Amino acid sequence: MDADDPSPLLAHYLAKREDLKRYFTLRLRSPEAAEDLVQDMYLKISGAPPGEIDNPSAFLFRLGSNLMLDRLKSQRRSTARETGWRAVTVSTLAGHDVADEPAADAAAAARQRLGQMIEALNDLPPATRRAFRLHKLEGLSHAQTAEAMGVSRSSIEKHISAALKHLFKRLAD
Amino acid sequence: MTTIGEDMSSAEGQAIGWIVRLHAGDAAESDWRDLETWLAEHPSHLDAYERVESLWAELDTMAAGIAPRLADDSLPQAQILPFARPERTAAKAGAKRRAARAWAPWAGVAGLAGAAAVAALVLAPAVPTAYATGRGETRHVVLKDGTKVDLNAGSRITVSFDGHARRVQVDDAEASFDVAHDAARPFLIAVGDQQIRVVGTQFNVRRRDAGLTLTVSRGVVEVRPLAGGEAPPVRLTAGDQLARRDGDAASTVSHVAAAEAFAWREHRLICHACTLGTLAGDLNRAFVTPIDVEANARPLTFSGVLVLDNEDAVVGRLAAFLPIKADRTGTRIVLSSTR
Repeated sequence: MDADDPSPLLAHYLAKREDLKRYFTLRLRSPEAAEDLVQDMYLKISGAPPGEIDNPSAFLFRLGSNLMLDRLKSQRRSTARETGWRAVTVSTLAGHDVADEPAADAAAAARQRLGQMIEALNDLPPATRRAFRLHKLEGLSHAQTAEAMGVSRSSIEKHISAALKHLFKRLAD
Repeated sequence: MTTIGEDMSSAEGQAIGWIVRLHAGDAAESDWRDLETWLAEHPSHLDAYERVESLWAELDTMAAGIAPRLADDSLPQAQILPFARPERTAAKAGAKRRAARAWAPWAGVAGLAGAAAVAALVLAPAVPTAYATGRGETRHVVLKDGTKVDLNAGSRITVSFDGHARRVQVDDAEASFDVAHDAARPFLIAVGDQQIRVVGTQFNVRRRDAGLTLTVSRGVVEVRPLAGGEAPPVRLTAGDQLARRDGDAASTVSHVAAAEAFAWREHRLICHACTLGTLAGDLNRAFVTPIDVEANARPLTFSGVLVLDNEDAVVGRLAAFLPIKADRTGTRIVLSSTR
Protein backbone atom coordinates (compact mmCIF):
# COMPACT_ATOMS: atom_id res chain seq x y z
CA MET A 1 0.00 0.00 0.00
CA ASP A 2 1.38 3.42 -0.91
CA ALA A 3 1.72 6.25 1.56
CA ASP A 4 -0.73 8.34 -0.46
CA ASP A 5 -3.29 5.53 -0.43
CA PRO A 6 -4.90 6.03 3.00
CA SER A 7 -6.34 3.18 5.04
CA PRO A 8 -10.15 2.85 4.91
CA LEU A 9 -10.43 4.33 8.40
CA LEU A 10 -8.25 7.29 7.51
CA ALA A 11 -10.30 7.85 4.36
CA HIS A 12 -13.45 7.87 6.50
CA TYR A 13 -11.86 10.30 8.88
CA LEU A 14 -10.98 12.68 6.07
CA ALA A 15 -14.51 12.46 4.69
CA LYS A 16 -16.15 13.02 8.11
CA ARG A 17 -13.72 15.56 9.54
CA GLU A 18 -16.14 18.51 9.35
CA ASP A 19 -18.99 16.49 10.86
CA LEU A 20 -16.76 15.43 13.71
CA LYS A 21 -15.57 18.96 14.29
CA ARG A 22 -19.15 20.27 14.37
CA TYR A 23 -20.24 17.61 16.86
CA PHE A 24 -17.26 18.13 19.18
CA THR A 25 -17.61 21.92 18.99
CA LEU A 26 -21.07 21.40 20.43
CA ARG A 27 -19.80 18.93 23.05
CA LEU A 28 -16.78 20.99 24.13
CA ARG A 29 -18.48 24.38 23.72
CA SER A 30 -15.39 25.55 21.84
CA PRO A 31 -14.30 25.33 18.19
CA GLU A 32 -10.62 25.52 19.24
CA ALA A 33 -10.90 22.62 21.66
CA ALA A 34 -12.79 20.63 19.00
CA GLU A 35 -10.07 21.29 16.43
CA ASP A 36 -7.43 20.05 18.93
CA LEU A 37 -9.44 16.93 19.61
CA VAL A 38 -10.01 16.16 15.94
CA GLN A 39 -6.24 16.58 15.39
CA ASP A 40 -5.56 14.12 18.19
CA MET A 41 -7.92 11.68 16.55
CA TYR A 42 -5.83 11.85 13.39
CA LEU A 43 -2.71 10.91 15.38
CA LYS A 44 -4.53 7.97 16.96
CA ILE A 45 -5.84 6.68 13.66
CA SER A 46 -2.61 7.00 11.74
CA GLY A 47 -0.61 5.35 14.55
CA ALA A 48 -2.90 2.47 15.48
CA PRO A 49 -2.78 -1.00 14.00
CA PRO A 50 -5.73 -1.54 11.66
CA GLY A 51 -8.44 -3.79 12.97
CA GLU A 52 -11.60 -4.93 11.33
CA ILE A 53 -14.00 -2.07 11.99
CA ASP A 54 -17.61 -2.72 11.10
CA ASN A 55 -18.87 0.79 11.22
CA PRO A 56 -16.05 3.29 10.77
CA SER A 57 -18.18 6.44 11.09
CA ALA A 58 -19.65 5.42 14.44
CA PHE A 59 -16.19 4.26 15.49
CA LEU A 60 -14.83 7.78 14.84
CA PHE A 61 -17.47 9.41 17.04
CA ARG A 62 -16.75 6.89 19.77
CA LEU A 63 -12.99 7.36 19.47
CA GLY A 64 -13.38 11.14 19.77
CA SER A 65 -15.67 10.77 22.79
CA ASN A 66 -13.19 8.43 24.47
CA LEU A 67 -10.34 10.88 23.88
CA MET A 68 -12.49 13.62 25.35
CA LEU A 69 -13.22 11.52 28.43
CA ASP A 70 -9.55 10.60 28.81
CA ARG A 71 -8.77 14.30 29.02
CA LEU A 72 -11.53 14.74 31.56
CA LYS A 73 -10.09 11.89 33.62
CA SER A 74 -6.55 13.22 33.55
CA GLN A 75 -7.84 16.61 34.66
CA ARG A 76 -9.69 14.96 37.49
CA ARG A 77 -6.70 12.87 38.42
CA SER A 78 -5.02 16.01 39.66
CA THR A 79 -7.82 16.65 42.11
CA ALA A 80 -7.58 15.40 45.64
CA ARG A 81 -10.54 13.07 45.33
CA GLU A 82 -9.10 11.20 42.40
CA THR A 83 -5.63 10.93 43.91
CA GLY A 84 -7.12 9.63 47.09
CA TRP A 85 -9.32 7.13 45.33
CA ARG A 86 -6.48 5.64 43.32
CA ALA A 87 -4.39 5.07 46.41
CA VAL A 88 -7.31 3.33 48.07
CA THR A 89 -7.62 1.00 45.11
CA VAL A 90 -3.94 0.24 44.89
CA SER A 91 -3.70 -0.61 48.54
CA THR A 92 -6.30 -3.33 48.01
CA LEU A 93 -4.08 -4.97 45.39
CA ALA A 94 -0.69 -6.43 46.09
CA GLY A 95 0.28 -4.01 48.80
CA HIS A 96 3.53 -3.05 47.08
CA ASP A 97 2.39 0.05 45.35
CA VAL A 98 1.23 2.48 47.95
CA ALA A 99 4.03 4.95 47.58
CA ASP A 100 2.24 8.27 47.48
CA GLU A 101 0.07 8.43 50.52
CA PRO A 102 -2.64 11.01 49.88
CA ALA A 103 -3.83 13.44 52.51
CA ALA A 104 -5.93 11.54 55.00
CA ASP A 105 -9.08 13.58 54.34
CA ALA A 106 -8.83 13.09 50.55
CA ALA A 107 -8.39 9.35 50.99
CA ALA A 108 -11.34 9.26 53.35
CA ALA A 109 -13.52 11.18 50.88
CA ALA A 110 -12.51 8.84 48.07
CA ARG A 111 -13.19 5.76 50.17
CA GLN A 112 -16.56 7.18 51.08
CA ARG A 113 -17.42 7.85 47.43
CA LEU A 114 -16.42 4.33 46.42
CA GLY A 115 -18.41 2.95 49.34
CA GLN A 116 -21.51 4.89 48.27
CA MET A 117 -21.14 3.63 44.73
CA ILE A 118 -20.89 0.01 45.88
CA GLU A 119 -23.76 0.40 48.31
CA ALA A 120 -25.96 1.86 45.57
CA LEU A 121 -25.07 -0.98 43.21
CA ASN A 122 -25.72 -3.59 45.89
CA ASP A 123 -29.22 -2.21 46.37
CA LEU A 124 -30.09 -3.15 42.78
CA PRO A 125 -31.87 -6.41 42.00
CA PRO A 126 -29.29 -9.13 41.28
CA ALA A 127 -30.20 -9.42 37.58
CA THR A 128 -29.75 -5.67 37.09
CA ARG A 129 -26.46 -5.75 38.97
CA ARG A 130 -25.28 -8.71 36.90
CA ALA A 131 -26.14 -6.97 33.63
CA PHE A 132 -24.32 -3.87 34.85
CA ARG A 133 -21.26 -5.88 35.93
CA LEU A 134 -20.98 -7.80 32.66
CA HIS A 135 -21.50 -4.72 30.51
CA LYS A 136 -19.74 -1.96 32.40
CA LEU A 137 -17.01 -3.77 34.33
CA GLU A 138 -16.29 -6.71 32.03
CA GLY A 139 -16.75 -4.83 28.79
CA LEU A 140 -19.36 -7.04 27.10
CA SER A 141 -21.67 -5.43 24.56
CA HIS A 142 -25.42 -5.46 25.13
CA ALA A 143 -25.73 -8.37 22.70
CA GLN A 144 -23.02 -10.39 24.49
CA THR A 145 -24.52 -9.58 27.91
CA ALA A 146 -27.93 -10.70 26.65
CA GLU A 147 -26.41 -13.97 25.48
CA ALA A 148 -24.54 -14.53 28.76
CA MET A 149 -27.73 -13.97 30.78
CA GLY A 150 -30.08 -15.72 28.39
CA VAL A 151 -32.40 -12.72 28.05
CA SER A 152 -33.30 -10.30 25.27
CA ARG A 153 -31.21 -7.33 24.24
CA SER A 154 -33.98 -4.93 25.16
CA SER A 155 -34.06 -6.22 28.72
CA ILE A 156 -30.30 -5.59 28.97
CA GLU A 157 -30.93 -2.03 27.83
CA LYS A 158 -33.58 -1.69 30.54
CA HIS A 159 -31.27 -3.13 33.21
CA ILE A 160 -28.41 -0.77 32.30
CA SER A 161 -30.74 2.25 32.17
CA ALA A 162 -32.26 1.31 35.52
CA ALA A 163 -28.81 0.88 37.09
CA LEU A 164 -27.59 4.20 35.76
CA LYS A 165 -30.74 6.05 36.84
CA HIS A 166 -30.42 4.57 40.30
CA LEU A 167 -26.71 5.51 40.56
CA PHE A 168 -27.36 8.98 39.20
CA LYS A 169 -30.11 9.62 41.69
CA ARG A 170 -27.99 8.42 44.58
CA LEU A 171 -24.61 9.85 43.60
CA ALA A 172 -24.61 12.65 41.08
CA ASP A 173 -23.90 16.07 42.53
CA MET B 1 -39.69 1.47 36.75
CA THR B 2 -42.06 4.18 37.91
CA THR B 3 -40.29 4.87 41.18
CA ILE B 4 -36.90 5.80 39.82
CA GLY B 5 -37.64 8.38 37.15
CA GLU B 6 -39.98 10.59 39.13
CA ASP B 7 -37.62 13.00 40.83
CA MET B 8 -35.26 13.13 37.89
CA SER B 9 -35.53 15.88 35.32
CA SER B 10 -36.65 14.63 31.95
CA ALA B 11 -33.41 15.91 30.38
CA GLU B 12 -31.40 13.70 32.72
CA GLY B 13 -33.61 10.71 32.03
CA GLN B 14 -33.16 11.24 28.32
CA ALA B 15 -29.40 11.74 28.69
CA ILE B 16 -29.21 8.35 30.41
CA GLY B 17 -31.07 6.85 27.47
CA TRP B 18 -28.51 8.34 25.07
CA ILE B 19 -25.50 7.12 27.06
CA VAL B 20 -26.93 3.60 27.26
CA ARG B 21 -27.74 3.50 23.55
CA LEU B 22 -24.36 4.83 22.42
CA HIS B 23 -22.44 2.32 24.55
CA ALA B 24 -24.51 -0.71 23.56
CA GLY B 25 -21.73 -1.91 21.27
CA ASP B 26 -23.55 -1.48 17.97
CA ALA B 27 -24.39 2.22 17.83
CA ALA B 28 -24.64 3.57 14.28
CA GLU B 29 -23.60 6.91 12.87
CA SER B 30 -27.28 7.90 12.82
CA ASP B 31 -27.40 7.48 16.63
CA TRP B 32 -24.60 10.02 17.00
CA ARG B 33 -26.36 12.41 14.63
CA ASP B 34 -29.61 12.03 16.57
CA LEU B 35 -27.71 12.80 19.77
CA GLU B 36 -26.23 15.91 18.15
CA THR B 37 -29.72 17.10 17.21
CA TRP B 38 -31.00 16.48 20.73
CA LEU B 39 -28.03 18.27 22.34
CA ALA B 40 -28.54 21.30 20.09
CA GLU B 41 -32.24 21.52 20.98
CA HIS B 42 -31.80 23.11 24.41
CA PRO B 43 -28.83 24.12 26.62
CA SER B 44 -30.20 22.00 29.47
CA HIS B 45 -29.67 18.91 27.31
CA LEU B 46 -25.90 19.32 27.13
CA ASP B 47 -25.73 20.08 30.85
CA ALA B 48 -27.66 16.91 31.64
CA TYR B 49 -25.61 14.83 29.21
CA GLU B 50 -22.35 16.03 30.78
CA ARG B 51 -23.51 15.11 34.25
CA VAL B 52 -24.47 11.59 33.20
CA GLU B 53 -21.32 11.13 31.13
CA SER B 54 -19.19 12.23 34.06
CA LEU B 55 -20.74 9.53 36.24
CA TRP B 56 -20.28 6.97 33.46
CA ALA B 57 -16.57 7.86 33.19
CA GLU B 58 -16.11 7.86 36.96
CA LEU B 59 -17.40 4.29 37.04
CA ASP B 60 -14.57 3.28 34.70
CA THR B 61 -11.93 4.75 36.97
CA MET B 62 -13.47 2.95 39.95
CA ALA B 63 -14.04 -0.40 38.22
CA ALA B 64 -11.23 -2.24 39.97
CA GLY B 65 -12.43 -0.98 43.36
CA ILE B 66 -16.06 -1.82 42.68
CA ALA B 67 -15.81 -5.31 41.20
CA PRO B 68 -14.61 -7.25 44.27
CA ARG B 69 -17.20 -5.69 46.56
CA LEU B 70 -20.36 -6.22 44.52
CA ALA B 71 -22.95 -8.46 46.13
CA ASP B 72 -23.61 -11.86 44.61
CA ASP B 73 -25.60 -11.62 41.39
CA SER B 74 -25.88 -15.29 40.43
CA LEU B 75 -29.11 -16.00 38.64
CA PRO B 76 -31.85 -17.96 40.37
CA GLN B 77 -32.01 -20.89 37.95
CA ALA B 78 -28.28 -21.57 38.10
CA GLN B 79 -28.16 -23.73 41.21
CA ILE B 80 -30.05 -25.13 44.17
CA LEU B 81 -27.97 -26.22 47.15
CA PRO B 82 -29.36 -27.90 50.26
CA PHE B 83 -26.65 -26.72 52.67
CA ALA B 84 -24.73 -23.52 53.06
CA ARG B 85 -21.00 -24.02 52.62
CA PRO B 86 -19.20 -24.17 55.97
CA GLU B 87 -16.66 -21.50 55.09
CA ARG B 88 -19.31 -18.83 54.68
CA THR B 89 -18.96 -16.72 57.78
CA ALA B 90 -21.78 -15.31 59.84
CA ALA B 91 -20.79 -11.80 58.80
CA LYS B 92 -21.07 -12.75 55.16
CA ALA B 93 -24.46 -14.34 55.67
CA GLY B 94 -25.54 -11.14 57.40
CA ALA B 95 -24.43 -9.11 54.41
CA LYS B 96 -26.47 -11.37 52.15
CA ARG B 97 -29.55 -10.85 54.27
CA ARG B 98 -29.09 -7.11 54.14
CA ALA B 99 -28.70 -7.29 50.38
CA ALA B 100 -31.84 -9.42 50.13
CA ARG B 101 -33.81 -6.89 52.15
CA ALA B 102 -32.46 -4.02 50.15
CA TRP B 103 -33.62 -5.32 46.81
CA ALA B 104 -36.87 -6.76 48.04
CA PRO B 105 -38.86 -3.71 46.87
CA TRP B 106 -37.46 -4.32 43.40
CA ALA B 107 -38.53 -7.93 43.22
CA GLY B 108 -41.85 -7.20 41.57
CA VAL B 109 -40.23 -4.84 39.11
CA ALA B 110 -37.66 -7.35 37.99
CA GLY B 111 -40.15 -10.20 37.98
CA LEU B 112 -38.04 -12.46 40.17
CA ALA B 113 -39.46 -15.45 41.97
CA GLY B 114 -38.56 -14.56 45.55
CA ALA B 115 -37.91 -18.04 46.92
CA ALA B 116 -35.67 -19.10 44.06
CA ALA B 117 -33.75 -15.85 44.28
CA VAL B 118 -33.10 -16.31 47.99
CA ALA B 119 -31.93 -19.89 47.38
CA ALA B 120 -29.48 -18.52 44.86
CA LEU B 121 -27.88 -16.26 47.46
CA VAL B 122 -26.67 -19.26 49.41
CA LEU B 123 -23.93 -20.07 46.94
CA ALA B 124 -21.81 -18.27 44.42
CA PRO B 125 -21.45 -20.79 41.60
CA ALA B 126 -18.45 -21.13 39.33
CA VAL B 127 -20.04 -20.19 36.02
CA PRO B 128 -17.19 -20.12 33.50
CA THR B 129 -16.92 -16.98 31.39
CA ALA B 130 -14.87 -16.91 28.21
CA TYR B 131 -13.04 -13.81 27.04
CA ALA B 132 -11.69 -13.74 23.50
CA THR B 133 -10.14 -11.32 21.05
CA GLY B 134 -9.93 -11.50 17.26
CA ARG B 135 -7.24 -10.35 14.88
CA GLY B 136 -6.03 -6.82 15.48
CA GLU B 137 -8.12 -6.55 18.66
CA THR B 138 -6.97 -6.19 22.27
CA ARG B 139 -9.20 -6.05 25.31
CA HIS B 140 -9.03 -4.83 28.92
CA VAL B 141 -11.20 -6.69 31.41
CA VAL B 142 -11.77 -6.13 35.12
CA LEU B 143 -12.80 -9.44 36.69
CA LYS B 144 -15.23 -9.81 39.59
CA ASP B 145 -12.45 -9.75 42.21
CA GLY B 146 -10.83 -6.59 40.82
CA THR B 147 -8.11 -8.46 38.93
CA LYS B 148 -7.21 -6.66 35.72
CA VAL B 149 -6.52 -8.62 32.55
CA ASP B 150 -5.22 -7.29 29.24
CA LEU B 151 -5.73 -9.70 26.35
CA ASN B 152 -3.52 -9.50 23.28
CA ALA B 153 -4.94 -10.08 19.80
CA GLY B 154 -6.05 -13.59 18.83
CA SER B 155 -6.40 -14.82 22.41
CA ARG B 156 -8.90 -16.78 24.46
CA ILE B 157 -9.13 -17.41 28.21
CA THR B 158 -11.86 -18.89 30.41
CA VAL B 159 -12.48 -17.64 33.94
CA SER B 160 -14.42 -19.33 36.75
CA PHE B 161 -14.49 -18.15 40.35
CA ASP B 162 -16.00 -19.89 43.35
CA GLY B 163 -15.66 -19.64 47.13
CA HIS B 164 -12.41 -21.65 47.11
CA ALA B 165 -10.41 -20.48 44.15
CA ARG B 166 -10.20 -18.18 41.19
CA ARG B 167 -9.45 -20.33 38.15
CA VAL B 168 -8.36 -19.29 34.70
CA GLN B 169 -7.77 -21.56 31.72
CA VAL B 170 -5.36 -20.03 29.22
CA ASP B 171 -5.82 -21.50 25.76
CA ASP B 172 -4.00 -20.07 22.75
CA ALA B 173 -3.43 -16.62 24.24
CA GLU B 174 -1.18 -13.88 25.50
CA ALA B 175 -2.41 -11.97 28.52
CA SER B 176 -1.12 -9.70 31.28
CA PHE B 177 -2.60 -10.14 34.73
CA ASP B 178 -2.65 -7.70 37.62
CA VAL B 179 -4.11 -9.99 40.27
CA ALA B 180 -6.10 -8.61 43.18
CA HIS B 181 -4.94 -9.87 46.55
CA ASP B 182 -7.25 -12.42 48.15
CA ALA B 183 -5.48 -14.71 50.60
CA ALA B 184 -8.58 -16.89 50.97
CA ARG B 185 -8.93 -17.69 47.28
CA PRO B 186 -5.75 -18.48 45.33
CA PHE B 187 -5.60 -17.41 41.71
CA LEU B 188 -4.86 -20.53 39.63
CA ILE B 189 -4.04 -20.49 35.95
CA ALA B 190 -4.02 -23.70 33.94
CA VAL B 191 -1.84 -23.35 30.86
CA GLY B 192 -0.62 -26.30 28.78
CA ASP B 193 0.56 -28.94 31.23
CA GLN B 194 1.39 -26.44 33.99
CA GLN B 195 -0.43 -24.62 36.74
CA ILE B 196 0.49 -21.08 37.79
CA ARG B 197 -0.41 -20.16 41.35
CA VAL B 198 -0.66 -16.51 42.27
CA VAL B 199 -1.36 -14.58 45.42
CA GLY B 200 -1.29 -10.96 44.26
CA THR B 201 1.05 -9.84 41.54
CA GLN B 202 1.55 -8.68 37.98
CA PHE B 203 2.78 -10.94 35.18
CA ASN B 204 2.43 -11.78 31.51
CA VAL B 205 1.49 -15.23 30.18
CA ARG B 206 2.21 -16.16 26.61
CA ARG B 207 0.73 -19.44 25.42
CA ARG B 208 1.46 -20.09 21.75
CA ASP B 209 2.14 -23.27 19.78
CA ALA B 210 2.40 -25.65 22.78
CA GLY B 211 4.95 -23.36 24.45
CA LEU B 212 4.68 -21.23 27.58
CA THR B 213 6.53 -18.03 28.45
CA LEU B 214 5.73 -16.51 31.83
CA THR B 215 7.24 -13.18 32.87
CA VAL B 216 6.75 -11.69 36.34
CA SER B 217 7.02 -7.95 36.88
CA ARG B 218 5.88 -7.76 40.51
CA GLY B 219 5.26 -10.15 43.40
CA VAL B 220 5.68 -13.92 43.38
CA VAL B 221 4.11 -16.75 41.40
CA GLU B 222 4.58 -20.51 41.59
CA VAL B 223 4.46 -22.91 38.65
CA ARG B 224 3.90 -26.64 38.95
CA PRO B 225 2.76 -29.46 36.68
CA LEU B 226 -1.02 -29.70 36.40
CA ALA B 227 -0.66 -33.44 37.02
CA GLY B 228 0.89 -32.77 40.45
CA GLY B 229 3.85 -34.93 41.49
CA GLU B 230 6.73 -34.86 43.93
CA ALA B 231 8.84 -32.05 42.55
CA PRO B 232 8.64 -28.70 44.38
CA PRO B 233 7.04 -25.87 42.39
CA VAL B 234 9.21 -23.41 40.51
CA ARG B 235 9.02 -20.06 42.29
CA LEU B 236 9.36 -16.88 40.24
CA THR B 237 9.88 -13.36 41.51
CA ALA B 238 10.01 -9.97 39.80
CA GLY B 239 12.18 -10.04 36.69
CA ASP B 240 12.06 -13.84 36.29
CA GLN B 241 10.98 -15.42 33.05
CA LEU B 242 10.06 -19.08 32.71
CA ALA B 243 10.05 -20.79 29.31
CA ARG B 244 9.07 -24.34 28.46
CA ARG B 245 7.34 -26.48 25.91
CA ASP B 246 4.57 -28.92 26.83
CA GLY B 247 6.08 -32.25 27.89
CA ASP B 248 9.53 -30.83 28.76
CA ALA B 249 11.01 -32.42 31.86
CA ALA B 250 12.27 -29.06 33.13
CA SER B 251 11.61 -25.38 32.49
CA THR B 252 14.23 -22.73 31.81
CA VAL B 253 14.22 -19.73 34.14
CA SER B 254 16.17 -16.60 33.28
CA HIS B 255 16.33 -13.06 34.57
CA VAL B 256 15.01 -10.54 32.04
CA ALA B 257 13.88 -6.96 31.68
CA ALA B 258 10.29 -7.80 32.56
CA ALA B 259 8.83 -4.67 30.96
CA GLU B 260 9.69 -6.10 27.55
CA ALA B 261 7.14 -8.88 27.95
CA PHE B 262 4.41 -6.26 28.38
CA ALA B 263 5.44 -4.22 25.33
CA TRP B 264 2.54 -5.62 23.27
CA ARG B 265 0.20 -3.47 25.32
CA GLU B 266 1.84 -0.42 23.71
CA HIS B 267 1.70 -2.08 20.28
CA ARG B 268 5.40 -2.87 20.30
CA LEU B 269 7.08 -6.19 19.66
CA ILE B 270 10.54 -6.74 21.12
CA CYS B 271 12.63 -9.45 19.47
CA HIS B 272 15.91 -11.00 20.53
CA ALA B 273 16.89 -13.15 17.56
CA CYS B 274 13.26 -14.11 16.80
CA THR B 275 12.90 -16.25 13.70
CA LEU B 276 10.73 -14.84 10.98
CA GLY B 277 8.53 -17.92 11.36
CA THR B 278 7.76 -17.03 15.00
CA LEU B 279 7.43 -13.34 14.22
CA ALA B 280 4.86 -14.05 11.50
CA GLY B 281 2.64 -15.70 14.12
CA ASP B 282 2.56 -12.48 16.14
CA LEU B 283 2.03 -10.30 13.10
CA ASN B 284 -0.81 -12.50 11.93
CA ARG B 285 -2.60 -11.95 15.21
CA ALA B 286 -1.90 -8.23 15.32
CA PHE B 287 -2.93 -7.46 11.75
CA VAL B 288 -5.74 -8.32 9.42
CA THR B 289 -4.01 -9.20 6.14
CA PRO B 290 -2.53 -12.71 6.46
CA ILE B 291 1.25 -13.02 6.11
CA ASP B 292 2.78 -16.22 4.74
CA VAL B 293 6.48 -16.92 5.14
CA GLU B 294 8.17 -19.15 2.57
CA ALA B 295 10.26 -22.01 4.00
CA ASN B 296 13.51 -20.37 2.83
CA ALA B 297 12.76 -17.26 4.93
CA ARG B 298 11.44 -18.90 8.13
CA PRO B 299 14.85 -19.42 9.82
CA LEU B 300 16.00 -15.80 9.28
CA THR B 301 16.29 -13.98 12.60
CA PHE B 302 15.46 -10.44 13.59
CA SER B 303 16.53 -8.48 16.68
CA GLY B 304 15.06 -5.12 17.60
CA VAL B 305 11.85 -3.33 18.42
CA LEU B 306 9.01 -3.39 15.92
CA VAL B 307 6.37 -0.71 16.31
CA LEU B 308 3.11 -2.38 15.25
CA ASP B 309 1.51 0.71 13.81
CA ASN B 310 0.50 -0.43 10.37
CA GLU B 311 0.95 -3.74 8.59
CA ASP B 312 2.52 -2.43 5.41
CA ALA B 313 4.95 -0.25 7.33
CA VAL B 314 5.98 -3.21 9.54
CA VAL B 315 6.54 -5.46 6.53
CA GLY B 316 8.55 -2.65 4.92
CA ARG B 317 10.78 -2.34 8.00
CA LEU B 318 11.40 -6.09 8.12
CA ALA B 319 12.33 -6.06 4.44
CA ALA B 320 14.80 -3.26 5.17
CA PHE B 321 16.54 -5.32 7.89
CA LEU B 322 16.35 -8.81 6.43
CA PRO B 323 17.19 -10.21 3.01
CA ILE B 324 13.55 -10.74 2.11
CA LYS B 325 11.00 -9.44 -0.33
CA ALA B 326 7.28 -8.99 0.18
CA ASP B 327 4.78 -9.91 -2.53
CA ARG B 328 1.09 -9.21 -2.33
CA THR B 329 -0.94 -12.01 -3.86
CA GLY B 330 -4.61 -11.08 -3.77
CA THR B 331 -5.44 -10.70 -0.10
CA ARG B 332 -2.21 -12.12 1.38
CA ILE B 333 1.37 -10.97 1.87
CA VAL B 334 4.09 -13.50 1.05
CA LEU B 335 7.59 -13.06 2.45
CA SER B 336 10.44 -14.94 0.78
CA SER B 337 14.23 -14.93 1.00
CA THR B 338 16.15 -13.05 -1.69
CA ARG B 339 19.34 -14.98 -0.99
